[in-house]
Amino acid sequence: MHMHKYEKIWLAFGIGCLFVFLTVIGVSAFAEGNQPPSCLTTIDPEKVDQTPPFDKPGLVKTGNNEYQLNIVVSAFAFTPNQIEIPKGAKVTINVTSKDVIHGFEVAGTNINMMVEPGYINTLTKTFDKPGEYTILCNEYCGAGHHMMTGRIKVVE
Amino acid sequence: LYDESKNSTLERGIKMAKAELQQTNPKTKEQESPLKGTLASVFLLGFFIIFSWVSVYFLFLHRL
Repeated sequence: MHMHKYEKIWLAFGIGCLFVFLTVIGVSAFAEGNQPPSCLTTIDPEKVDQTPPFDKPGLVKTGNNEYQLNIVVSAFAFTPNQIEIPKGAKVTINVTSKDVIHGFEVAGTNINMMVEPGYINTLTKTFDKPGEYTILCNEYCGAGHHMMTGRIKVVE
Repeated sequence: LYDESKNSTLERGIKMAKAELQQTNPKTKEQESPLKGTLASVFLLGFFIIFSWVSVYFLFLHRL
């Protein structure tokens, strides 16, 4: 089959890009151990209030400058929705939903998860910059979706 | 009777048909169509997509 020289150049470029992108994903997943926030940790969505650590949601100190933040999401609230975190703290955030699919986004950061009932989402983040961050739901969950907010204060 | 005008029309018709045949025959000319503009535009689009991807990736890294 006759192929134009320029077509060969373009095909080589496209296939090259494909390999570059696959390598980036491969290194991120297998060498650096990155995984999606919801990675097969399950919970009974009807018994969230009785299951630790979600029976006592909030910020828990687990080590030197290390914290665990457990948040229950339901229609239409984050529990708790006012959180104070010391600056420089390494926080492991666990989030689960009691009813429908919600979103959990901390605006201006990489924290952004889809919270599905029955699954626990986990993400670790070091809060280096002091300030106020807004938590919002970015999955449409019902009539009160736009009322769902929370606030994280990073204090010195 | 010999009609000169009719005859010349016929001759002209044959000449035109021959010319047309000669023009459509060489198909090789069509395959070597210039693709320089196509390559340029497709690379422009490709680089735009790569630029968008890289900028979003660096935004992600910046917020880590």
